[in-house]
Amino acid sequence: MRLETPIDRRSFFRITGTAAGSLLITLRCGDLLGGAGGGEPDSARSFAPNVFVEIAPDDTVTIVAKNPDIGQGVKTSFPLIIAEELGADWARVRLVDADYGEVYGPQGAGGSWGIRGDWDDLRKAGATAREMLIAAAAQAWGVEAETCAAEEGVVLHRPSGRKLSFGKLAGAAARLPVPRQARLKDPKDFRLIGQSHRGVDNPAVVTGRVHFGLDVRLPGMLFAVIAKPPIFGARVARVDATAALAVSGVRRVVRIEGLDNPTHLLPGVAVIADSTWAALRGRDALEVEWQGGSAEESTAALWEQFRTLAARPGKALRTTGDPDAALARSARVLAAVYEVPFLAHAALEPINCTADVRAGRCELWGPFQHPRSARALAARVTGLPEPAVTVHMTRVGGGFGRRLMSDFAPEAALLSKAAGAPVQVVWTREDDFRHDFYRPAGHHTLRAGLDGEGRPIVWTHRLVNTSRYAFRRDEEPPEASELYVDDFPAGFIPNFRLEYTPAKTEIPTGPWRATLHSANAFVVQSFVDEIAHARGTDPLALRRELLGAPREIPYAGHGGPILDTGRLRGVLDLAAEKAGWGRPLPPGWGRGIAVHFTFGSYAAHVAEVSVDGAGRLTVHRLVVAVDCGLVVNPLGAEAQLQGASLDGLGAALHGEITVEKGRTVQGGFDEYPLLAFNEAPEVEAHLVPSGKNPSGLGEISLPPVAPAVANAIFAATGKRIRRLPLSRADLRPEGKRT
Amino acid sequence: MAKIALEINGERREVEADPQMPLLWLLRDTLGLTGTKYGCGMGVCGACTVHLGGEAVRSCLLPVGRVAGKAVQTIEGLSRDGSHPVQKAWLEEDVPQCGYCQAGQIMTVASLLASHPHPTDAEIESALAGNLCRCGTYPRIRRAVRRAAQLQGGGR
Repeated sequence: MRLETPIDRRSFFRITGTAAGSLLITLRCGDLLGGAGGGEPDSARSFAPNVFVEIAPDDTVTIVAKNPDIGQGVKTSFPLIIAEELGADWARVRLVDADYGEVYGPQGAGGSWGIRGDWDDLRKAGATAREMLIAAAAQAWGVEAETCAAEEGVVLHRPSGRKLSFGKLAGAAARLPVPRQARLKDPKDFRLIGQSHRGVDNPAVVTGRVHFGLDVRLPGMLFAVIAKPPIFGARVARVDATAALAVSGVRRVVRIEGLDNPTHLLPGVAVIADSTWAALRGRDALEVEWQGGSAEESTAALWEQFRTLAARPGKALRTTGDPDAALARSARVLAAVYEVPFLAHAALEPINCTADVRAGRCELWGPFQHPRSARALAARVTGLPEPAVTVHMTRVGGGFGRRLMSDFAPEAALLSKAAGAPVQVVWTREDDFRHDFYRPAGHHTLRAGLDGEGRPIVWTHRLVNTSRYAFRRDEEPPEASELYVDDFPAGFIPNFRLEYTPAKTEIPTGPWRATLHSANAFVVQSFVDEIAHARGTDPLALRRELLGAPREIPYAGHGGPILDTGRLRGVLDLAAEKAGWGRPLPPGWGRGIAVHFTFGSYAAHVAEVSVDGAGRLTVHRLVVAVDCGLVVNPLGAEAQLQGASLDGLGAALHGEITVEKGRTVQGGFDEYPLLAFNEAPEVEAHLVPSGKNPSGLGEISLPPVAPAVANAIFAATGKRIRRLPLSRADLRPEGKRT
Repeated sequence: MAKIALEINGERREVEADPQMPLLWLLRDTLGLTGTKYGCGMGVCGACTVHLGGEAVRSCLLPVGRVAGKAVQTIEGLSRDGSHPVQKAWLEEDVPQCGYCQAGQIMTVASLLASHPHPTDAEIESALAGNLCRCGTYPRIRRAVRRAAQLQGGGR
């Protein structure tokens, strides 16, 4: 017996034209959550005013979940928004995963963009359907539409108490014109949004029935494992497949040339077999000769390069006032160097993709964060036009930015084409670690000058790092992915300079949860703490002083166009209050605080730690406060705050990728530890009540964690940690060091 | 290749397999029981946890030849409908984020509660120390384990 993933997804959607000429797509699919049950709705009398909603005569309300769920809960929150405006009965809504398609607007998972980007469109989708159902009911009753309301799957005529279910109205509503501008609900009338809802896939998750990319099973499917370049940039020179082909179950060995851009497709040699195990054994038996590559590449040499480059000025990205003159006249100047390492993504679900290429078409199944590039790359390597490639988005076993690159999609596509059968490409954990696109490593030089009263009058920040935009050959300049010119304290200190110099390296880099905010917030919020302690001010008080009176300041780039300093102050104060900032702690304990703005949202952490006589660090408690505007699903939001906080903690404590002789040293969780259960403190999450439009959430609470913990370590021990990961720091008291 | 007889989720099965192949791949690739996850293949992450004779084991390192004649239980066999106390607690506490590690977490906890119906915090920490979650669901797992113990004990 095999558990099959429903495969004929193309027939799920039937596209027809409406009288009004707009695109109408009728769902004709089995419910993926509940199996292939449920009769096909009568499309003639079903009502589907847009691609997201369909109401069948039997009262079934089907809502399309358009974006891949990577653990951020979007499969729950997106349909909730539509159901809210529609007036549907949430407990009875049927959900269907969308395939990739332009009709849905942007699809993917990145930049904490989901709810922020789709809020209006999803509401309109629901509101349009609601207005048409109400119009149909009003017509049937001969009453004014304004006297009717839609609630829990029925339209109600308030004065008379008459009711008609959505299903009964579907046929009539389908014949009405689609309103151009449906009226959205007043948020005070929300019944679903703002209430807590559990994850819709959870019942399938806890019984093992949910399908991640690696769980796709197709009739006749083969499994492939790929021998990848042993050093960065190497290419295949020669392959002897004799021994590999002799392994029982191995069907075929395929050489992959790779594409020019290393984020698109790496070269390698694939072994295709009847099972993952046979493919793995086949790969072990392969004899591959490689050529080229950067055998001299190492992180040790890179750190030297950083230090050399940091001795010279970089490109000035933002200058305010006269920083040099201000430094010269400062009563006191502080200087520090911070170093942050490469990080791996290490999602629990290893990289994989399944493809079926035949008869002029290609179907892809997989855990994608960026399905558009998966489609484009599969089309490119198969020679098919993009419309001939269908992308089925499975549940995603963690992304953290790794799957914004879709290099695994062309692998599966070209191997399926070569094998003439569906092929699932499986990366081992070691493949994942050694061929990741790492969070860039960098070297930060900071200076701050205080005037005679101790006021910070100047701040300079010089970054030398490995730009991920440079690595992916982006048209944008290398600094654009590494620094955000309006980040605090730009605009808060009168004399200011931000400089950047890219280092040369072939070590692969890419986006990692919260992008470079993950590094920059550590540096900035640690250095603010240094200033506070240098002048003997409480770290919270200095931050309040720097933020000043509430005002809106311009913020270019993602998360903008404005930064509201009052909201930043709000989360700072809330975290401090909830954590009991200022209350005494036992000896050896300390509290640290940090605050940061990302993706339109505001986050602050207070960390409480202790360091014992042997230098052992324990993080006892994280208190996080976030202002992300209106919260769609508080239970899901709390999970994101806890998750991103612990993700940030794990990276801060342990995360470091090193490279020797052109090759990543770490190949497994034993060498690159994730945060373990017994290291995870309680995370107390607080959301600021807000009526503002929702902003980002999935990455927001990660950046302040590392500085809050490092600042707490300083409070506990007097030791300033300027290099991550924290586990490398010697926290033993001076007298106890060997 | 060899013929291997074993019991999976209460069903007797006879399979043709390489005795060296880890049980994980037999479950996933041969039998289509994809609820058990591949996470590291090194016995470090716990995503592949199943029960062997009631005890939690890592299926990614366990050769099929070694489980011949034994009883294996996977997440699919814990209960079909999510009615096992650990599954119910996981739902009530809304534990999963991406969900990939959760089958392994649940199997580890089901085994713990079978032998320790009222585990101490230290016993919980020790049992779950080898089950990694990259999403950071640990605080909710902690709550769910306590709730599962209550549910299992009938509210004692």
